[in-house]
Amino acid sequence: MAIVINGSGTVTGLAVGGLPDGIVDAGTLATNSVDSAELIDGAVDDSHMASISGRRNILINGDMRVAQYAANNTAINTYGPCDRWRTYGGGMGFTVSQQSSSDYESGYCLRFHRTASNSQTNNTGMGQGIETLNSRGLAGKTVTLSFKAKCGANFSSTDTTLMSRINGGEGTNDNPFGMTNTNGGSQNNILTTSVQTFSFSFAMPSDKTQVTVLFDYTPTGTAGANDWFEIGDVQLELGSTATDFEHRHYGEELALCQRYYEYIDQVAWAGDVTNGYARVYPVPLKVVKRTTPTITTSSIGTSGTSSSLATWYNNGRSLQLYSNGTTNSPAGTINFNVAIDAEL
Amino acid sequence: MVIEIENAKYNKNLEDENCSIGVTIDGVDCIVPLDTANRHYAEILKQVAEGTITIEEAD
Repeated sequence: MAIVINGSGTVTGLAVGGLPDGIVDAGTLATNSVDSAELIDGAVDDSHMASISGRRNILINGDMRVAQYAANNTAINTYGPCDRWRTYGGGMGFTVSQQSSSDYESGYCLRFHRTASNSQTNNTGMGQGIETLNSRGLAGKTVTLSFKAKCGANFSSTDTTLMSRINGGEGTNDNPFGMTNTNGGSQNNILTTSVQTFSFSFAMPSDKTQVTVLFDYTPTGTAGANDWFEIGDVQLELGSTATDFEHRHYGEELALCQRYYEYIDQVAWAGDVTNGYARVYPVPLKVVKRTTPTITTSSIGTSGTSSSLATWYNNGRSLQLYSNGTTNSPAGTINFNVAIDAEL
Repeated sequence: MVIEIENAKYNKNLEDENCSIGVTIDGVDCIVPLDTANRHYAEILKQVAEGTITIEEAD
């Protein structure tokens, strides 16, 4: 059948689906020629919107920019240096550090570096738990994990394999690496010394109430100088297709991290003190915490007050510490740093 | 790997009630609230139940 365009601009002779891909593009459509009247319901679905829709990444600090913790982490079951990322697994000599690298869109990644000459071969790695409030929406749906990764020249995992995992649990804010009734999906990723992008999907069972993303490997032999892997641009999203990494403003990402951990430099106070009587020091929280946090103080400097700080009030929304005066001098001072930890 | 918990001792508030635990966790001195949603308190309770540690009463 011939394709006819009549005088009023009506086109006939086209079967549905009759135009090959690429025939109609931006250049062949006049401005505003396709508006909402021409689009039936469902004509533009999620698969066409993924690259421009927002709030896709369920993980926090997937691009490893925020690092409120100490620069190097050498302990299992602890967080840092990048916020929200925690080590897990068996004992081993290692250092986890934030690295600058142009291989990743943010310019940063997280490196797990087995200590040279270490001979322990326990499975170990890093992961991020997603709290129950943010996990429930994933139950019964397919989720996709995508990330970039590479390894050092001495990465000792068999076949240079880094395992990535998506786990679901049925508790409420359990330890992310010991969740109740854990089920999950995993993928073996063969790393090289050049960065690559990996992704895989997992159908989250409908009874799952919290989710954890994990990266681990089992070292072999004795570590060389460059027995490490690094990850960056890590994203977990709904759907079975990995989309481009979602960029968020740094301040936004920092605030998301501070729901779980906040480090405040130099809380300071000066005023009258009386021997044996308490002085209260308000600590200004920037973000309401996930739960009542653990408090750790450091670098305490005092004059006329005890350096033995305790909590006066602490509920995750408000924090006040106190210590007792040690003299009857009218002028006392105290200053300290404080870490506020409400992590999973 | 077990989290190393030492020197656990209750702190009291002005109403003379236990309000937190002063404790050393993996070598770091901390103040842990009595909230089961706090992971450190949950771990302390677990190790108390296992008989690994005890919590000293406040002064």
